[in-house]
Amino acid sequence: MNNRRRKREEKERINDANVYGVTLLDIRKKHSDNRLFLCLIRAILLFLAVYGTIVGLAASFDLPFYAPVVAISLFALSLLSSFIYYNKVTFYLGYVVVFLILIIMAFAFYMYINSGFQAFINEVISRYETFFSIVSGRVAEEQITDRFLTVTVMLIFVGGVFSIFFNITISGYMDLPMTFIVSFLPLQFAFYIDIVPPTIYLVMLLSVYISVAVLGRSGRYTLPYRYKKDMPFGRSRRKNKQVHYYHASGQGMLWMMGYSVILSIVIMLIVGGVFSSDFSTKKLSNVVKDKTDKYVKTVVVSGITALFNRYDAVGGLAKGQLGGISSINPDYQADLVVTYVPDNFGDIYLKAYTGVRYERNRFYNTFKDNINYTSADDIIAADDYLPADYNNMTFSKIHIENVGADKTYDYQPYIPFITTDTGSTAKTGIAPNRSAFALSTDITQKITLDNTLSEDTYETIYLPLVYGYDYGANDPAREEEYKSLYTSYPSSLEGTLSAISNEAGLNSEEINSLQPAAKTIMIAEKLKQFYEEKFVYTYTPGSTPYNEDVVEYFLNENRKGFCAHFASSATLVLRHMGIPTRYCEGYLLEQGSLMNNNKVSDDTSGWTSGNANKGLYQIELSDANAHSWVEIYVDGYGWIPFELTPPSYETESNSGSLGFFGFFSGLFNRTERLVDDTSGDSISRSLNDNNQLTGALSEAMSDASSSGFAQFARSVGYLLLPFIWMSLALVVIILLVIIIRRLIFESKRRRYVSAEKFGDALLLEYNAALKKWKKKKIITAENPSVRDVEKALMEYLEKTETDTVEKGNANSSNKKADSSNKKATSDSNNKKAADKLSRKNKSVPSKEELPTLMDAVYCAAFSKDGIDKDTYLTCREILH
Amino acid sequence: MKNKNLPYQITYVLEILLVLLGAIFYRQPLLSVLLLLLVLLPPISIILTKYEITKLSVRATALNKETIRDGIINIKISANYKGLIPLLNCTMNFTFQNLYYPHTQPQEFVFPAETRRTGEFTLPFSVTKAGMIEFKTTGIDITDYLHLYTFTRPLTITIEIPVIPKDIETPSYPKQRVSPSSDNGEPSEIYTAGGEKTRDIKQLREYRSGDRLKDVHWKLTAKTDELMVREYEEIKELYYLIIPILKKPDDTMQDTLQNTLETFLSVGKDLLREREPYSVAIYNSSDNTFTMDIVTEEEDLYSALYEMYKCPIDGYENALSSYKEQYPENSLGMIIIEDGRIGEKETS
Repeated sequence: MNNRRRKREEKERINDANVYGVTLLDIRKKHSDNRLFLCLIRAILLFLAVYGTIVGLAASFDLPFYAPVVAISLFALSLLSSFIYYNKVTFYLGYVVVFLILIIMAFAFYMYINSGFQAFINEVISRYETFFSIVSGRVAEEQITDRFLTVTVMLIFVGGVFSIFFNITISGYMDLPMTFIVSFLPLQFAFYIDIVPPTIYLVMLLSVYISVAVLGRSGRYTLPYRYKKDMPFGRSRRKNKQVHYYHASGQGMLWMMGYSVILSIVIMLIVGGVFSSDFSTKKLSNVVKDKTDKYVKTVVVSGITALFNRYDAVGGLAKGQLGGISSINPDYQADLVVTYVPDNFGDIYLKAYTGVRYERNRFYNTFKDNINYTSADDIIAADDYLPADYNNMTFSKIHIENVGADKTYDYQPYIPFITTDTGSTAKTGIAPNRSAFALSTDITQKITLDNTLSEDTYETIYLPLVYGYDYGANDPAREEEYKSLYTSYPSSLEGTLSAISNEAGLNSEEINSLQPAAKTIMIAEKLKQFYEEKFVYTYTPGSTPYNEDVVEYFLNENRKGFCAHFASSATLVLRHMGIPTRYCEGYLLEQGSLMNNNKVSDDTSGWTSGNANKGLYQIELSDANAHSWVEIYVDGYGWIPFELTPPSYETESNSGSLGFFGFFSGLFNRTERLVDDTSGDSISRSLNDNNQLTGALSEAMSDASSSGFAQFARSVGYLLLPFIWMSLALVVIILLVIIIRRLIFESKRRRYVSAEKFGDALLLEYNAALKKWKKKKIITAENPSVRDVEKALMEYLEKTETDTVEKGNANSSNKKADSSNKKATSDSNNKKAADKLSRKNKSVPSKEELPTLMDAVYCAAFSKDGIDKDTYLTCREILH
Repeated sequence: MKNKNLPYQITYVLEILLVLLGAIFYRQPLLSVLLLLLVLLPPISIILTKYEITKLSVRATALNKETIRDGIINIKISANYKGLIPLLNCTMNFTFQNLYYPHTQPQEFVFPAETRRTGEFTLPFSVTKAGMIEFKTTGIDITDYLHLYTFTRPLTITIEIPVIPKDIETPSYPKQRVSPSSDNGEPSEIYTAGGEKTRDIKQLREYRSGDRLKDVHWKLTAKTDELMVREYEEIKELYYLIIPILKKPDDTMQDTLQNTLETFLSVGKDLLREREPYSVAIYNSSDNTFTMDIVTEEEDLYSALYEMYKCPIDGYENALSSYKEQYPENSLGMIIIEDGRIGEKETS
């Protein structure tokens, strides 16, 4: 009670005394609870909550730590936290002290805590990658590699922080929902991917929940500092009554906590099956998971900061837009479903967008985005071509289903065939606006295109790209035009591009001495080499400062970026070098990303004219497969796609310096990235050929697509199963209790009989019978004497006999009109009724037997000699 | 089921619904177990409470039989609990009041029944006015562990503790009266402390210190050579009669009740000091009757006082008129105490 309330209370009491002549003062208790004890109990609850949550989480991910050290330290911290509420002084100073301790700890053991935290993040990322079948390549840097040590220190530190949270929700408010949220949220790291913490930690948490629920609802958990030592009772005055309540009962809290632990253990033993792998949630759809999967994947791959991008990268293509994105945010949903026969020539680019004019952080396409080709000239005028001797080359069919990609564009492989015949008969199965890419009739004799497909699903015959192959110049007449259009760049970038050209050595004598075509290739190769050496590939390069040019910032300052940065800057650098270059966007179909389970058929007939020993594959391409590259125009060869985005083996290490961001770098993206990828973009690739998890996911997907009713039934089953188990367990427990009680009774009786203590044996049976009589309400007294029982039984027998006789008479008078037979019938009825009664009250002795039984019981209870065996047996027979 | 549990019941149902929603939409095993727990706990809690309350017995005893005004009355509550699971919300319902100043506001005393312990609590009452303090319990409410259901057990204990008025300076009143004249016109006897004497000799005995000289039986003294005195029979009817007139205190009037009680006690004690037995007329307004309590020693005085405390205060102000109506021929001297003063002095 605070001073203000105290004063008000004093005033009220004086008023009561004056008006009513009597007032109740502060109630006293004989044995007041010790404050230390009250704090200690809270500390135990805190410890259970903190240990169950934090250490439970670490154990879920199999992180190594010194359990005794963590347990002792966390208990000490819990004690410290709970003793904040010991009195007013500790309350006002306590939190400051605890915060200071944590801050000092953070400074002193920064490296250990940081490394432990990064170890945890690494383990989490690793498990999530396995669960989602993705490889992020993100590895948080553990500066100290002794995980036993670092994880231990980290757990103590994080446990200390959580002890403060729990101290508020448990010690302060006994608030079950808040306590549950504080403990449940961290555990989502594990539960989200169906990892269940070991049972011991769940028992701890359940104990805390039960204790908090019971103590919280009792309302009797007032913090010690809130009342004076000698005032164990508080008072609340209301309009119509006064309530005098005790503040807290240490003994009560302790016992309740003990029972909570026992109850938790029992529940966990019974419903532990809920957590078994057979009953995991992974095969069931989960609304929350479904909605959050893509974000979780994003965080796993790119860190939390990826969630805060200004532009959502859904759809894969940026349409030449650069900048504004601090990091890539793939949604991992299928954009294209591609079916094809992989050849031996490497990855396949599916080109959609061609950037020509660069202006204000964007490559614009001078052509309309949605092109309807009407003649072969248009196609050639655009950017497509065929090798001169294509008839001698291997060609293949590719089946593309656009399920989520931007539908403005076609996604065409290099190098689709062109036909001069745009008639509908020759282009079966191809949407009109894509018919230009259909094969002429001579090819369709070998590869049949499906003519039943929709506009968003199309098939194209293409020539797998072969680097270095002489495609020939399709249109030498337009070379000049190309050169003027595709060599332009903003004059404001002149300085930057020159500097980079020089730095990269693109103007070296060695290069200048080469023939034009070779020179072009060499410059591009040199630039690629320069990028590999001096630049870092990353999904999270950060945002370009406002009003700065993306390419300029990338080349001069940041030197970090993803494919779009490399391709766009390369385009401008190469243009600066006089090489016609264009910026391309589309999807990259990697050979390396194919897994065995992508194989849909071994039969490749009608899909390729070449050596198709690999079979037919189907793969989903998502945002993560979206890519940017450049095409350079090589004299005599035409437009050649060129990959300048470097593979990223480089380490982008943590600074190691003390700082908030550094500490959580594992969560964000300041980690080293191990990307073994030629493009640097693809993150979805094979884990291993026999990835069982992928199989499980496929099964899950198949389940998810099952009927709504089946889903509902599964959901109901999911929810009901624990209850069914519980009910069965309860039935079993009840049966066991009955059996055990019966066995105990029988063994006791036998023991008495064998020891010739017939009196005790009779009393044992008499007490059991007494319970039955009480249950039937034949005897109502709480502690009846033997004579009381005899009297009550006699009354009962007489009453039931009278009732039966009356009933029998009534029946007989109705049925029998003949008065001469009345008596006989009545007697007969009485007998029947008596028999019935006897059967009904089998456990109640008859009127004749009762005195014998009760005398024997009396003797057994009070006589020194007790009773003999015969009497016991007789009485036993009566009782049964 | 009592209304006070309703908020708890509603919040509990809401908690179950929330967890149910969580379990449906976010199928985590822990949520299922929590849901199961939330469903199981209420019956467990209610059944256990029902079973455990049979092991609780509560007693209330007064630690002092009476007290003086401005003193303290202590009532001890003993809660003997033989159960294993503590009952955290036992509520004893009671009232306490000074019968002269009715105050029936219900009081609730929430105490814990701790495992296999006898909890002893002291309820200290500060009393500032004389009268009878009545402590009355009506029952015990025991709420289950989740506050969903309340079991009520009857507990009827009534404790009455009198509060004695403070001693004050005795107001003046005639301490000696002359008896009615005898036939010859002279006083036949002097009324003194110790009561009215008759002329009937009870016995003749040796002189004791303090005996009056006029009681010496000189003839016998001469015969026996020892100083012998006459001892007379004590009076049958006492001379003094105190009639206190009690008036119900109200807000508009000055509380003279306490003064009346104080004066009564003071005069009564003074008469006893003077070895003057007397009677007290206690008026019961409910049936308009008087009880005459004879006071020969202090214990009698307190008995009379306590008896007076129990009489209804309503209508007590009519005590004098009723008395005169019922006893018109009273020949003894009356001390009427009204509004804290000696109101009327009469001899017949």
